[in-house]
Amino acid sequence: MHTETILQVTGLRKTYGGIVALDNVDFELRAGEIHGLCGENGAGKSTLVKILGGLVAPSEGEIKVAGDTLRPGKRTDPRLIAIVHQELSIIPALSVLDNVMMGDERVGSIYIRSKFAADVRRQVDALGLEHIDIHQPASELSLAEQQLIEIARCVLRGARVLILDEPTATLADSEIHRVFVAVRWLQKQGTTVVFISHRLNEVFELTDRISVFRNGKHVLTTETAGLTSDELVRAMIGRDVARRVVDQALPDATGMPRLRLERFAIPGKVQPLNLSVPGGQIIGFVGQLGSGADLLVEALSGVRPHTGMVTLDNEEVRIRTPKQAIEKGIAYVPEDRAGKGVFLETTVAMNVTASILDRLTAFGLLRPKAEADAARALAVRFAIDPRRLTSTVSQLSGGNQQKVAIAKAAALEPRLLILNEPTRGVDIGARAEIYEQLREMAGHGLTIIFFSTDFEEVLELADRVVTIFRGQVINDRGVADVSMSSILNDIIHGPEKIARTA
Amino acid sequence: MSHSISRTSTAKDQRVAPMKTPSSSLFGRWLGPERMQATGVKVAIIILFIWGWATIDNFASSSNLHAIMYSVAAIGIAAVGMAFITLSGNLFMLSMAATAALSTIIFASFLYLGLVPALLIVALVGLIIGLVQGVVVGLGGVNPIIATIAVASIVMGAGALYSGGLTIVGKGDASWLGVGQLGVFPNQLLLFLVLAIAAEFVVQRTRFGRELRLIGLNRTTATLAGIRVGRTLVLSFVIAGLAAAIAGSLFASQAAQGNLKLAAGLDFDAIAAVLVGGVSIRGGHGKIIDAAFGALFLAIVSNILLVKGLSFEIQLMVKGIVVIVAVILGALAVGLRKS
Repeated sequence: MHTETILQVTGLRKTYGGIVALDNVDFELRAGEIHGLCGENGAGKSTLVKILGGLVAPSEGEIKVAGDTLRPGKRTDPRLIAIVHQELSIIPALSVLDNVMMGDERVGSIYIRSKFAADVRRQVDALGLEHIDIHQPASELSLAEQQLIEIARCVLRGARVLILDEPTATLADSEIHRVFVAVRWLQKQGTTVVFISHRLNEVFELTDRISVFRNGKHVLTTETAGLTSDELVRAMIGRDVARRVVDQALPDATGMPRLRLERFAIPGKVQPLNLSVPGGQIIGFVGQLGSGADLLVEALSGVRPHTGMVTLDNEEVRIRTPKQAIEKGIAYVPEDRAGKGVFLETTVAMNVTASILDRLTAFGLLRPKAEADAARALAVRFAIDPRRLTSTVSQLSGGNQQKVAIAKAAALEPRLLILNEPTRGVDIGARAEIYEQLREMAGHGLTIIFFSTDFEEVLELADRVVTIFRGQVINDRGVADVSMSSILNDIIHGPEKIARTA
Repeated sequence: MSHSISRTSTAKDQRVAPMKTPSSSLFGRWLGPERMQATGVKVAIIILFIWGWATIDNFASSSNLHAIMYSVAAIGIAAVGMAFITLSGNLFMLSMAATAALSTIIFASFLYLGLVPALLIVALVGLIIGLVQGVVVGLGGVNPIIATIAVASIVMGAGALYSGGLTIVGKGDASWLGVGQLGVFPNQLLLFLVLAIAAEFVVQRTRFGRELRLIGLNRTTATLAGIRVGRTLVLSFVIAGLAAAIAGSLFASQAAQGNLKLAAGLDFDAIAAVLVGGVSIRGGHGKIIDAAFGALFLAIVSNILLVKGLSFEIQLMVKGIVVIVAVILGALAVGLRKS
């Protein structure tokens, strides 16, 4: 059935000041297919998307959509190609209706809501949002629902090709299927969908065909059905990545625990819990958004208030602010890299030394030599190219930015490292490097606690998995004893399980 | 632990092409988007100066050059103080004119104790005014514009109460500061240069300066990284308050008088110098010394207009236009960096 070509890219080339972002790319989409776009950060996916949207002009090459040739660098008509970016363009204070109609050409100089309400209602219903009121503010919706609102906006304008750039990166696994349902419905309506994701299982589940980009080159396009996960990974990074094999149960913790929580709670969000974590252990908290699992790691980092007692190496500590946490040897890597994790607009060197300025100072004066040495050592340790120390962080890929964020926290030589979404939006290669580095630090006795909505990451990184449902710990087990489905079961059906085991 | 992940990092790093970064090359240091405006202002100063010298009668006369030197000193000191606030991401301190105005009165009132004691008292008052704002903004989290306007109102009110709205004539000798010179250079100008260079050093080379810049770049990231946000912001407001007080002393010293009208327009002049010099209102970008050059540029522009016989009103308009153009150019440079 998929025979007609809707989008044809020929000889596309884009260079940024001598750096080749796209190298002579040919690419086509068949009408009505769901097409997965895979590749590491920096592979050229986002450049291609930007060019397709007309946000960036290509250096060479031609793009034809439904027979029309796009004018290079001019905003593409949203009726041809519409893009939903990872950072949503939803204005939280505006209603669902207003968000959907925002920027729509049919809205004239005077915006009469009633003219569009029925259309929007129908579109929103079709995407599985029957339960929401189109006059309620978008801020009351979940992230997945906001994403669907944004998709509704594109569909209402009649987009022939819809590009979803990492639509699931910020969603919890349990919310993702709603987006999937919507995408499949779109396909039935005849829309061609380009689906970009770092989560390969999603790509396999959803797409008809997959294209792989590597280093600016289009290296592969094939039917999804005939491709294995290993083949895909190899095409993406040009080599094999070995999967983690856990063949050992969690060793019994002996001796003094590194961290002990007693009646630790976040009033109204997380019920009192007790937890004991030995040195060198990596422990993952998992829960749906709203379960409080993410709040727990924030509370442990001093970002959010808590009640109960925290004992670190047998010493009771007060953690009321991030600064207090840091003084006690607790370092934190937040989930929002650009907003909280790094200083985007300055150099890598300034970033990685930001937490340890006191050690690089004599009588209030910075010691340039000590600073340069420290920055270089951290870069080497975290597999950041030392030549990039003078680069501005915003120029780096997501993976390298995350390495910078982790390096900045690890520079403190903490006793406890806390990560909120350790590798969100990070490509596979950099992900493996980050896991390896974290495990190496754990091997030297560092205790690591992280929260993640990505189950693959939990299984890949954690020694021990704590599942949380509505503020309550459901299970606390070694990673060898959990599976993707047991985690899902815990965080979606928590209480029944408790009733049975209790 | 028992799992295996292939060692991968080295292979990947070598793939990354060595990249010329803006800050690493000589080109970038002067002409990269980050520094373009600051460099442009310096070039413009030279061009204006040469042009004025060659084409305008009396521009290069020693009395006119002195006029420029005197007009730049107080505003330049205020601009240097203002730059600390802007760099920290708190936009502007809109109480500098008020603080300077009050300072002229206090300076004149206590001049009978001698120049140095009067300066110390004025500095103390400026420090306290700055401290209050630092606490309100830096620790209390109040919007800096609102907080500093409110403080400006309080300070002006206090000044009017204290002086009864009258000019206070100082009983003492302030001529060292007011008209004194070292060689051909007014002491005021030298004081400005010393303070500007010291401030530049503090921001570039001290932990406080680094933390100030990082807070300006991203306050949330700075807080989570354990940077001393509250203390740094309080200190930045104290410095700005001190700068305003010193600027007020310079105004007062010229006639050994204090009057609340003496520092009128200082807020805008200092903001103009900061923006024209190339310190970004987004915080974290730019250098303290840029603000000093911005002040010099504006002083020369005003002077040329004056020497050419254009009225004060025209000067005001030109100053406004220059600021708008500078802000637009700055925004364009940011766009250039992002593309």
